[in-house]
Amino acid sequence: MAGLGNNVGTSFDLRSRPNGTLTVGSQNLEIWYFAEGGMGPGIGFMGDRYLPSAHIEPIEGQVITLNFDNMSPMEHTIHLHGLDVDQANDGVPSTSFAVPPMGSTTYTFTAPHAGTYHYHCHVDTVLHYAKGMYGAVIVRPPSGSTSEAWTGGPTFDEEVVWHLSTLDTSWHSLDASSAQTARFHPDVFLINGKKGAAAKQDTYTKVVVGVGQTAYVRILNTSYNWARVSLDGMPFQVVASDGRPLQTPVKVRSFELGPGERYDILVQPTSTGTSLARIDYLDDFGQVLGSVATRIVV
Amino acid sequence: MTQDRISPTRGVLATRRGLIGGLVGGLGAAAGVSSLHAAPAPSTWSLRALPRTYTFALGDTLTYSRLEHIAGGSLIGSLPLLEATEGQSVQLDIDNQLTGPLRLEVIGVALGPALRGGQSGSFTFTMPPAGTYLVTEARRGIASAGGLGAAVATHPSRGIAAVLISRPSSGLNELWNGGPAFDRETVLLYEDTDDRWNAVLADPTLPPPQAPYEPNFFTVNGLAYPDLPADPTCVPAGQVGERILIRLANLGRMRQSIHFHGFHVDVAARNNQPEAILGQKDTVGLPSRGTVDVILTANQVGVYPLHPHSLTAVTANGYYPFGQLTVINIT
Repeated sequence: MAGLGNNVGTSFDLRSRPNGTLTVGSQNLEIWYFAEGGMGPGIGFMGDRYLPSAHIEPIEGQVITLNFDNMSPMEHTIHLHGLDVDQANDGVPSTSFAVPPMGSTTYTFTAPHAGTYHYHCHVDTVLHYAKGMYGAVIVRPPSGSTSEAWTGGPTFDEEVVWHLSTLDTSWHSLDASSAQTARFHPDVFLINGKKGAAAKQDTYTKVVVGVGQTAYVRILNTSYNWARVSLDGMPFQVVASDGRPLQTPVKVRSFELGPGERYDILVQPTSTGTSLARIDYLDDFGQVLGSVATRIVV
Repeated sequence: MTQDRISPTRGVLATRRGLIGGLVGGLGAAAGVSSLHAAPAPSTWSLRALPRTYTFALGDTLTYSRLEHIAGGSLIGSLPLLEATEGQSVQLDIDNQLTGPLRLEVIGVALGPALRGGQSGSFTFTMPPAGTYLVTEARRGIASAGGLGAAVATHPSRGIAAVLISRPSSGLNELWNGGPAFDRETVLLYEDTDDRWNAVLADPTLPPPQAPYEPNFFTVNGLAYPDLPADPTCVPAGQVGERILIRLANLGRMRQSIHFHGFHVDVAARNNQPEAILGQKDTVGLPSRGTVDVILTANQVGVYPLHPHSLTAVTANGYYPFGQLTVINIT
């Protein structure tokens, strides 16, 4: 399950840290991130990288406690994007509250419909988000199943989450939004924090599935650009978006999603081989700014 | 069913405490907002086009070319709102007080006369099927006039912006005859501006800037945060149990995706076509020169932000939180 299914529960611990890094060419970019669990320094995503942040898997219908330790020298919050929490737990400083440096809080909410969501810091969001403060929230059905998308929904044999990210490397030395964040010029194009050959081979990103089996891919656009998803011409089925089933599942060869949107797709190969899943990041005219790819191994 | 694409084509705040009051401070007025539907439907509208400035919260002042009612008329923020019933014959009078030419267009519906600066004119058209329509200027020929190149030809607006609502012939609070019903409604028209291009777009005789168009100032209904949530016409508001229609419209060049805190919404129509694929969404794609109509069913009280997730659009020249940030207020 490519790292998923190992963090299902009703109580989670996230801590923010300012000292992550991502090496891009000769640059070491500063990453701000959320780590999950334990008292050690921790790292994000599946416990192996700083970008994206750690993922959590709450259970639909359960009251969830999310303990947050802000181990950073600036205010942060956790906004549960799409989970429709109440105002007090919404993680927006002006309408709920901010957590001060080295402070702590506990967010409480009832996990909504099983599906794909994400969380992120909502302080000086244009910069904190761009520097990496986001992670996946995968709400499991009430049964806790990690092979069924929602109660009565599609079942699957393999499951992968894809964070789509673009970086403007000039932003990663900044500590606050300013005239320097007026325009976002992406120069790094990532999937799950990986690019190039690393993205194609990454254990937590590539899809490994057998003929006759189903892979469930949860796609989160955590960039500031629209993105187009295609699978080497292979048709696939889009079944859900933003944590809700589509009115009508659709079979497509590509689709586009905007910043903050999530789409869940089913990949059901009919023959063996290796193909590439490709993400094209787009400008406002639909022109490709940059791309990244990973493997689908059947 | 096979299709190449779904969704888009058919489909703060900690450090600047001084401004945060605006986010919540405007809500007393917002609580009183109600359906726009009570306004009578005239058969003739009279608008003038003229230069207008808007000063953003940090003091930046930009000059736009704006439309305004000559007398009376409904507003969304600072922009005109026009309403009539589908099938009705209507007339639009325009007094062009700009120094340069202007030709109005109701996108997909009607094209007005080409007017020189200082000239007035009129056009008539039949109200289209019930829905949400954009009023702006026809793609201008200033690329050749000013030698500005393709970037200007694709720029959608210098600020000429209004919304036309075509009401269903049923006379009911529904999006179209037999369509989704609602108790209240709000119209949000998104625009973006590049300050380097702003003056040139207003005066095509000026030399073009060297930089491509990349917006750095953002408004909704002609206003930016914190003015935006302080204006009750720009705040979706209602009571628990009510259905709130939110008409999202985009005359900016940026292709937006609008995130609703606190709620999923039902996507009712995209570019006035009933939605058959998407279910409930918390982040809704909004194409340039397009519209999306959504229904928010208020199921919890509170004040919740509503903003694009291309987060540069929630800034003013890079400073957060400004720009296209408003709130949803449920009591």
